[in-house]
Amino acid sequence: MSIRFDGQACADFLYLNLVGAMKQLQRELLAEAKQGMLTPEGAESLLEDEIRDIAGIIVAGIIGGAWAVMDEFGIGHMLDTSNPALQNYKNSALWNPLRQDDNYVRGRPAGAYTDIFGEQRTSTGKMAGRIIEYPQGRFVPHPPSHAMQTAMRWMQNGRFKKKIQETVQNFPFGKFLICDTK
Amino acid sequence: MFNPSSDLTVIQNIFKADATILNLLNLTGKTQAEILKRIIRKSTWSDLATNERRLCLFFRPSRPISNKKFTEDVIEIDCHVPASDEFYAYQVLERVHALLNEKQINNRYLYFDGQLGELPTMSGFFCCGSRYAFNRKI
Repeated sequence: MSIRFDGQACADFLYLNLVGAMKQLQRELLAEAKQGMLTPEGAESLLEDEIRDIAGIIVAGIIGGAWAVMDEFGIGHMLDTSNPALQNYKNSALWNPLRQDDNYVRGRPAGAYTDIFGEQRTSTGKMAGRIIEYPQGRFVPHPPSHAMQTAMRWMQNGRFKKKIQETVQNFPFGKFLICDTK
Repeated sequence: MFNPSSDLTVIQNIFKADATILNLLNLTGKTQAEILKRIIRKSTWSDLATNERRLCLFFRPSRPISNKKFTEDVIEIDCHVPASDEFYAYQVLERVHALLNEKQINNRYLYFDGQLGELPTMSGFFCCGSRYAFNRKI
C-alpha cells in the first residue's frame, strides 16, 4: 500500500494553467487599454503579443504602433513632455526641425522627409515654420490618454494577483495523487 | 439578465437624486438637462469646459469567470474637477461608495473593486475614480 504524487505531471499541467491565466490577463489588459484610447486609430493599433517563456518566466504583453504611442502621450502642443522617449524622437530625423519648444505642429521645410510612420513624403515648404494645428490648420491635437499606463495600473491593483490565486486555488492537485491499495 | 443600459440608468438616477452628490458637483437647483450633461454614462473628458465638475459612469470590459453562465462586470465611476478642487473629487467618490458598495442594483449586489488615485484627464483638471464589480448571469 502506498501513496504517490506525480510531481512532474502536476508541474507541467500547472504551467499550462498558468499560461492560460496569463493569456486571459493579457486579453483583459488589451481590452482595458483599447477602451482608454482617445482615438480609434490608437485603439486599432494595439495588439496582443505572443506569450513567451523566457528562462521559465511567462511573458504576456501588448504591443502598439505609432498611433498607440501618439494616443498614449498626446500630440501637438498637448503632448506629454514627460514621455521618456520624447528626447530620442526629437533628436531623430523624424522630428520636424522647425517645431519649437511650445511643441505646436508646424509646417516642414521644402523637400523630402520621413514621417513618424516611416513613410517618405515631400513638403512644398509653403507652411514652413507656421503653426498648422486647428484652428490655424487642419491638424487636430489631443491630450495624452495614458490608456496603456492606466490599464496596467488597474491590473496591478489586485487583478493580477486575484487571477493567479484563482488559478492555483482551482487547480486539481488531487488528480496527481495515486493511491496503490495492493 | 444582460441589461447594462438599465444598470447605468439606475445608478445615474441614484446620483441624480442624491443631494450630496449634486451639491459636490455644483448642480443644486440646476435643471435635469444640465444635470444629465454633468452626470454622464460614458467616459468622455476631452471636452471638459472651464470650472466644470463631471461624473462619468461607464462599463469596463467584462471578466470571464470559471462558471461560464456568469461574467464579472465592472462599472467605473470617474470624477473630473478643476485641478484646484481635487478635494471635492475625493468627496464625490466617498459619497459614491456610500451609495453603491454592497447595495443592490437591478437585483445584483455591487462590491467595491478598488480605486487608483489620480487618473488621466485634461490639462488643468484632476480626476480620480473607483470601480464596482458584480456578477451577471448571461
